[in-house]
Amino acid sequence: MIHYILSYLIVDISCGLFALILLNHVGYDYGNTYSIRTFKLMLMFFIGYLVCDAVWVLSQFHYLPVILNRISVIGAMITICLFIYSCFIYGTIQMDLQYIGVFNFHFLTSFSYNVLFVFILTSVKTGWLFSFDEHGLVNFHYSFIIIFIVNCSYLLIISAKAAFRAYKAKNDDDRRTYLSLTSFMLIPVLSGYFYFKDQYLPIQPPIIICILTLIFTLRQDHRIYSDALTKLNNRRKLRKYCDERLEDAQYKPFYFCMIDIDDFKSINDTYGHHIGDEALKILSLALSQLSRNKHCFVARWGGDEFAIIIDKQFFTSPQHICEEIQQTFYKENTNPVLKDLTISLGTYYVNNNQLTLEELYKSSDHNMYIQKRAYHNKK
Amino acid sequence: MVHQYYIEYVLINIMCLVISIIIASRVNSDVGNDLEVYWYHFIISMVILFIMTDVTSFILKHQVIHLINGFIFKYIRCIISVIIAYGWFRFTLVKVNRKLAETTIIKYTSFIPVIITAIIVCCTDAIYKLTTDNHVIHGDYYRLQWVIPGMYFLMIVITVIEAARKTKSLTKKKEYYSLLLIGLGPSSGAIVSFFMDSLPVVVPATLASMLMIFMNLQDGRIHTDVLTSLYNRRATDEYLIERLAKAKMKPFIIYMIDVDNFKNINDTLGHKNGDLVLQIVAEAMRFTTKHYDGFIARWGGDEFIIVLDEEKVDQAENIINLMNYFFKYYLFQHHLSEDFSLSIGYKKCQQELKLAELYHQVDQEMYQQKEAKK
Repeated sequence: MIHYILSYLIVDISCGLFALILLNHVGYDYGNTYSIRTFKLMLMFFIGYLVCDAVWVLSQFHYLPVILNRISVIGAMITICLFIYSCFIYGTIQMDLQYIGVFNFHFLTSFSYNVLFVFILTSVKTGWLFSFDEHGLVNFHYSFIIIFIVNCSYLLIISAKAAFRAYKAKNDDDRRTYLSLTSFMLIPVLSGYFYFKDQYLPIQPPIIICILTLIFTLRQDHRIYSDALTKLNNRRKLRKYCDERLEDAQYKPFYFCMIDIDDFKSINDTYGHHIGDEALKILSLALSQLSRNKHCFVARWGGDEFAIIIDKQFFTSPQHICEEIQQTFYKENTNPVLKDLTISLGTYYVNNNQLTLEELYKSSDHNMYIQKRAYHNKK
Repeated sequence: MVHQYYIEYVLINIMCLVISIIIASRVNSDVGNDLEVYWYHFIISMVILFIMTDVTSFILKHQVIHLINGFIFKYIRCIISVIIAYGWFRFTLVKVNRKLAETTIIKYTSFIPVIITAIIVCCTDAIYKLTTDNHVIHGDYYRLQWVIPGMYFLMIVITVIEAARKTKSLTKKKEYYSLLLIGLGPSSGAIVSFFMDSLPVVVPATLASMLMIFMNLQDGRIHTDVLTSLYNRRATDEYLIERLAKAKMKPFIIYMIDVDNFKNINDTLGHKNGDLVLQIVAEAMRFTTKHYDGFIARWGGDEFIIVLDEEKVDQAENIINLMNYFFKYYLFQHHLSEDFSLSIGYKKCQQELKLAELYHQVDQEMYQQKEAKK
């Protein structure tokens, strides 16, 4: 008996400890604050749930006053609902951010939860969902299942959508992110199954913490390989990817391109750094569009230099690619200062595996300077 | 409730197993330096093994499943717990004192306790006794199995405190003490199970520490620049937002450093030398702020940032002079021309500002410096 309660507490405490560790390392990312805040909220609701759960088991076996039993049951129900709603929001942010800004989004999606909270709180008096027996302990009614159904449907929506996105995703990174989101569905499926078999098992916290850890580590992984300002891949990822590609370059030849903003230094010097940053951000938008159209890999080399690795069959000509990027740039750009911005592109054809990333860089950079000189002559 | 207790025990171990597998699959050379990653991998795979044997021996002990020669799992479990402590010791040594960690004496002597434990467990009756009907019961000195891991942890504590005492940099000190905090997990788990043997505490406590180390390693990679291994822009944003919030109580000075005509250096001397110049700037920054315990970062291409407490700096100009001096000095050491120069602008910050505003102001300061030179 004592072993059972202590083990239950250990489950709660260790899950809480893991959640606290994650919470401590969420960090801050420029321009990505909304998803970070939601993730923090998720963890906090989860910790709240754990506290309620621990209090519940202690009061259930009369180690704590009975009144705490009622409070903790209601608390646990509300926190788990809030947790699942924040999972839903987090998933939405990860997949399509544009809905979040839509008027009434939060009002509409949280509507059923608001109704549910009214039900839960009034049940103390009316006894719709649960009532208290003569010892003061909580008795669940059959209608209690409605909470389970609501939670389940929210998670089902988000995981079905994630599964669909994963199926359609073009590169491995996106697919992995989406697949990790589908794991949300494991929470109700596994915990619901065990919960109906035996109420006295702490099955939810371990499942939830496993999923949160998975999502969190993938997220951190993403940050290791991405550039803070432009959200493109960074040089670390480029090196990894390039090494993979170079290995079978004989069978799958590709073009290595370097891109450089013309006179970036003068933009920085005349208008200040924030305009320079804006130019980089818009250019990175244009580049990620290119990567979708041409199935190529783009990364920021550093400063104002970007690298593209593009398959031979998608490569047309340097001028053509250059123009395509510039067209998207002009379309996205709203700043009048940047309307005359041009870029230079140097390419190098790779069909053997004797080269290193540095050599590729050097050769394509050299080709770029030839074009640059032409640009300056024109001016 | 006995039945539930069994399930709980297995459940928590499965949870830890899943989490450790997630971690193990994410540990690669991009998370830390080679030796760190090697030892981390070592520990985490041992933890996975430990969890597996722990569950198996638990199931066998409560006779949910019968297996002949099942006692072997208990033996393995006992030995693995010592190996984990050994791996932990080596890992801490790599973090604290890399040179010492690679000497041959340490390499061989530190493994001896593991062999001793293996001998004690397998050949004597001290820890586990085998009865005639193939059951395992606790030996007379059952608690001896906590002593050797405990010794390893004692060694860890000693090395960390010794190293922390020696360094002067406050950030290094903090890093070392966080290593101690991490060692708290397994030892507290061991203490609990010393008194109550059948609770699943050691595994989650150990794993919590492992998770913490892993997160620290990952954070290190997220927040550092690849070329100069200074903090990167992401870390700078994070740091300054925190710093700005308490700027009233702890005013600070922010310097922005820019290499003059860096584009030309790159074009004329090649990218290799360009990278070298950046590394030299980083080196000079490290040397300049050595006694100030400042925050130094590479903010973008050729721009660097230093943040210092105002109370530690007598004269803001002094830092600029030092910086220029060390920059020239290191250029000379690397046989580069000493024509290169730095433009440094600074700003004292005593009230709360927006981050973008702060960057803009210090940027302006720097450009005035640059213009003045022309």
